[in-house]
Amino acid sequence: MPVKAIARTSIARNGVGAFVPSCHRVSIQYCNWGGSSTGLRQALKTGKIDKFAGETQYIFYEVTKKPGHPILKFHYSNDTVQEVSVANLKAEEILDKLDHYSQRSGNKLIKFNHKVMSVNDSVRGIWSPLHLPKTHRHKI
Amino acid sequence: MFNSLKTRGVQLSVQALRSRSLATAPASISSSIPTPTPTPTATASSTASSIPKPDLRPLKLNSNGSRDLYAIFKLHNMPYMVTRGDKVYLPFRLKGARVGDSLLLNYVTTLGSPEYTCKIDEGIPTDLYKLKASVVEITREPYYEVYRKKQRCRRLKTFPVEPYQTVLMINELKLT
Amino acid sequence: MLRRSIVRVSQVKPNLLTGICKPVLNTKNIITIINSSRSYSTKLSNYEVPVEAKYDNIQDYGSYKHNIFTHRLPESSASQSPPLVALHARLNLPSSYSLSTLSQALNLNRYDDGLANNFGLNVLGKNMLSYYVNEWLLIRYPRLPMPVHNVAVNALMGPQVMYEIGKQWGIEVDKSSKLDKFLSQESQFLKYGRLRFIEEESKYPDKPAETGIYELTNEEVKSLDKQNSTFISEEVNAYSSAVIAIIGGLYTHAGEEATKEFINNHILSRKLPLENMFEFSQPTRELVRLCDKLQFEDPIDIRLIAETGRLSAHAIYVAGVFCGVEKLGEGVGSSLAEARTRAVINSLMGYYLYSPIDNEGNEVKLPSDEEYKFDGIIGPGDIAI
Repeated sequence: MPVKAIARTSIARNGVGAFVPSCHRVSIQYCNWGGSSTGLRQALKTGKIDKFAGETQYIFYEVTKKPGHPILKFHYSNDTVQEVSVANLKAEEILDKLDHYSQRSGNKLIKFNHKVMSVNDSVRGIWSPLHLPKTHRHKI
Repeated sequence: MFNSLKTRGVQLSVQALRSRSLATAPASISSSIPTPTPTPTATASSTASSIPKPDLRPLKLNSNGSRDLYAIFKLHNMPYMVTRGDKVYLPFRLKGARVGDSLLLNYVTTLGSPEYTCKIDEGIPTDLYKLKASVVEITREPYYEVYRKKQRCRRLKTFPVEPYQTVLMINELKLT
Repeated sequence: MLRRSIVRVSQVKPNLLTGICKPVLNTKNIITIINSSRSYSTKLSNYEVPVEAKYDNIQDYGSYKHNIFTHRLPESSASQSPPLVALHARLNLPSSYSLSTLSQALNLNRYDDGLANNFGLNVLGKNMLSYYVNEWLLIRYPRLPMPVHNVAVNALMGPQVMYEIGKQWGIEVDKSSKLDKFLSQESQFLKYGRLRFIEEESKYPDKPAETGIYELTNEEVKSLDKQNSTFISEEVNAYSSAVIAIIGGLYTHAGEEATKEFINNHILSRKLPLENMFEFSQPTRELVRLCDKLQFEDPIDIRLIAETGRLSAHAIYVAGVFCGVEKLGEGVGSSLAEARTRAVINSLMGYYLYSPIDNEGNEVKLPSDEEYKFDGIIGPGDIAI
């Protein structure tokens, strides 16, 4: 055999070509009685969440009624679930939370100290001291 | 269209996923399978129009069909060197942008292949290249706290810090 | 547009209730619950359709009729399934792509309340996908050796990659049993937007799952790679099948152009690490044979270009492969042999990973593009050592 092949998988680059949002399911849990759910109940009653769901058609919203503090659960496509407590928040604040967390990718939050993250090889390659005429090389 | 972002170098062109259309978006939003091709407007090249157009043919022939090509674009006067498929981490929330939006980056100072470089500080004329990015994620950096000692107060003051982060994916980089 | 589903009242462990449910769930999609200790070893795979066709004349293929009647999900029911509607929007599918087809693409079960499964869509999608992937690889990398080409195809459309794509699309598996759904008062429409491949009988485990032990099904045993002890699990297969079927469905509803664009956007946009897929056993000999085949007149010559000095603390050598006055490749190594091998491999890679461009410096067009005119090259084929 001249060349053997090594099995590899291609690397996903979400956003090159098509972009598929990572947050695919949001569970909204509220209590019909508790005072901490007032804001969420209002958001549900006044149709604000309906409107937001209409704008973000790509997310599947689940509304459940359960005693306890209200919670938003964001399910991302990398199998992570982010729970956000929205107890005692106003309707607008809850919508902000919805808007913000649904735009995340579900990856762990990182502080990236560089500007660009690349999977490609450098176009120019690495500088080499040996590719100069011998007379021009650096001498120690 | 361009003024809405109040940033030189970026132009919000298409909302692929947004069903509500912003006033900034062009009227023809194709909601079918994406890759809409917005026509680059002449707004950005107002300064660049006075520059004589460089001949980028050697660069193009050297770039292996735009595969070995890099660009340095500027955003808020900060340079970012990118190739196709790179992720750009912006340490702020890009105004007016939402996840899934397509951005046309039109302030490119440098284009380079393995052997040639074209560098114009005022910006290379926009009709010579196409640099597109999509907003992939709007998130935050990990939470941390900063302590400050204020005058005439014996205690340390705690400031919560959780800055925003916008991640762009370079969608398309090619010479036209 | 608010989609509501009712609260899960309680989480009932189904395995505690199998004794009760046996007589209740006597429907045709449950083949057997009793004696299910090794039921999967005897059950047919999802696609193995038994010969149950009737015909008037054995040679008249038009008269063949199946006696398994399947029907398609009505559009009105499909549109009431929130996960299905969301998936449609997430993939930016055209409005002509009906939700019932999308739901069908997610169904792998043979008996799912008499609903049609994705077998046909999968076959169609697989054909479309393999055509476009192969076309892209053959035109863009005409000199790729056959084994690497095959691995590259697998890297772009193999089950593992399709599984990743399916996960990224946010497809979820329908894991709960009928009883569980009934007890939690789950909306019946929810399952139409989920991946259905677990048969009803396997949703009632007869014994609690043991940690650290995974029993393979017959299908999984077949896919077992004994060298690496890896296998393609049922879930991976199901995801892969669904993703391919969704592409097939796109072709039926939106035509070829849209399918091509979809494949370009979702599959060919991935990064293919071709340079990491080569393994050479005798690179120098291969390069010599290659140059013979290409009828190069001058002999191959590997020469030292530069070195830091043999006695330096970390000696570095730069070797080059030359054919007459042409430099074919170059390599850096910490010994002469390493530099030589790297230089040879570099020149071989330069040959194999060549990608043609047209006169204007653009990537060459593919045969399925408009105004296609052949201006690439045809690879001379593999070389034998």
